[in-house]
Amino acid sequence: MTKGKTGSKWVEFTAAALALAATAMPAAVSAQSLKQQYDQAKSSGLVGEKMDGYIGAVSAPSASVDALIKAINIKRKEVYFNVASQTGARPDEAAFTGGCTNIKNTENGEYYQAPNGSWVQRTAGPPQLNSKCPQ
Amino acid sequence: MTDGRLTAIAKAAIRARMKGIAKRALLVAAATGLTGCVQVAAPDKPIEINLNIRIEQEVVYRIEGAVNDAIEENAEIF
Repeated sequence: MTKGKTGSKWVEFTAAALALAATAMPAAVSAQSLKQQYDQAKSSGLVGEKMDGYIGAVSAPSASVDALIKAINIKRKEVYFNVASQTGARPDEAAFTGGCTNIKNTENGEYYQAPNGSWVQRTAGPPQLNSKCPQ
Repeated sequence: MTDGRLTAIAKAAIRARMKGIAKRALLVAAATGLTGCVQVAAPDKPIEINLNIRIEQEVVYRIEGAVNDAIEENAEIF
């Protein structure tokens, strides 16, 4: 992909690259702080990975945590929709598949949603996965 | 005039009257038919039964690679 002004102009016209344009163009500062907020919320157990591929509040969230969850999930939704259109699968299937991976990728101490719907803290062992997840 | 001719005239008159009644009855029937009509229109789209409500494991396995790639590429939100 080309870089610079002509490159970014061209990107605007391709629907597939919309996600890229949205993440690459706004100042790197805000993206960095969102990531920092997210990492902090994850490690302090405020948010966890849900089975549906999105993050959720482990306990009643503050306004800022709620806003963070929404901001992350909107971006994730775009990623899942792109994968769905590339693969011919449904967005919820892509999101569910992402949920399996996200839960597998949780680190020790982070929260994830178990198949029974409850929040579980990840231990050193393998997480409890939905039976439809690739095992 | 003969009796036969009189009968014929009477019959013709009766026939004409009956025609009028029949016409009027037809009009009434048409009018009531229009107002009391239940329109049954065939749908312009085929009836679709959504059988895709559940997540198919087969699909999950098929798209896993693409999903994992996308997650890696967008690590800042995963």
